[in-house]
Amino acid sequence: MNDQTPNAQTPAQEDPAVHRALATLPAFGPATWFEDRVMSRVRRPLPPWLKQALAGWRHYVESGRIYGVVGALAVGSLLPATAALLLASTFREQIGDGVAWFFSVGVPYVGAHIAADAAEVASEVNTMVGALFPSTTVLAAAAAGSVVMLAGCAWGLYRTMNVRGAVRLSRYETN
Amino acid sequence: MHYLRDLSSVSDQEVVERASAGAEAAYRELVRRYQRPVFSLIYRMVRDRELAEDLTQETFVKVLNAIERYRPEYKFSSWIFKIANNAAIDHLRRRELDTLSLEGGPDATTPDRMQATSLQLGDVTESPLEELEARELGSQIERAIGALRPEYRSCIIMRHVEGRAYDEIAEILDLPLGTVKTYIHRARAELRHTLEPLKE
Repeated sequence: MNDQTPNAQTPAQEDPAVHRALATLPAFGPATWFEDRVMSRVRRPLPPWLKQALAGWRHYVESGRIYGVVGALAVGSLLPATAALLLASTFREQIGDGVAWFFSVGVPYVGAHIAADAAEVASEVNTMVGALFPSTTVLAAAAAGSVVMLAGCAWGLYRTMNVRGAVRLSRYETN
Repeated sequence: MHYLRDLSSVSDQEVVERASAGAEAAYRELVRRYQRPVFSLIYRMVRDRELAEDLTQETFVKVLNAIERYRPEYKFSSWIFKIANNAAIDHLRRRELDTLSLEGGPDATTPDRMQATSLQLGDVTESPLEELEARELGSQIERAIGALRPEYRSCIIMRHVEGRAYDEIAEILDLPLGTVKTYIHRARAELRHTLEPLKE
């Protein structure tokens, strides 16, 4: 009909008479406190960092990777726990003696001379620990094994959480 | 540090971005910027101040609660006017249905039956508030706008009162550009016809 009306024309140029009439109309405004009434009904979004963290966790749970993470942590703690159990069973008599000594002699001794003899107690404990682990070679081997195992677990975790080609959900979300 | 800057000089897109990050000041700025144009549009559509305020409030609550879903490639003003216009048009449609039901039930064929099934209204005289509204919207121009079909009304208000471009009006009203131009053309013709006697 009047599709030839150029979009660049201002409303006043298109129809001056109607525009003049409409230009006199006042702009109405809502009552006072309108802004506060609106604000009382608005739910504000979570901060972006929290949203991203929640999305990340949701992603791990929904994709099942959380089980991989838990599994890796369990395997990672297996060797140190086994080593501790083996040591405890091997040296259970010494440990029993040590604990008994600690409660029968050490604790009363510390209680009586807590301030003055602290250094001496530490030395006694050190001697006791030394008695529990006769071979430094065994200790060093266990420590090295634990470190290697932990490093392996950390690498496994890293690969589990950053699979090549995987896209985080947060990338799809608009800011 | 830039968050401390006065928001009144910041673009809509930037204010929306800050609102999406949870800044209350940005929400308030959006309300302050658009409360008058949105309220004016709705008020001229529904012609009832209290109702217009409720619908304006609904519009803002809807927009601000969905601020995270806003797509920045579109104009914020188009989005909010679209929701405001939909709210007003929905109300007018519902009122039209209510008005029809005032005439009596659909199965009412005799005057007695129509009276029996029609809704009973109380005092129909204007309250002081309604009188005030009638005065506020009482000018010949406002009456002429009020007499237009709702779709003509929103087009002409957006074009001549809000100064929106044709393509933006088309986007807001979900109408083809040609239809918007036709509506505005017809609305102007009707307004000229209604306002003609005033010149004499």
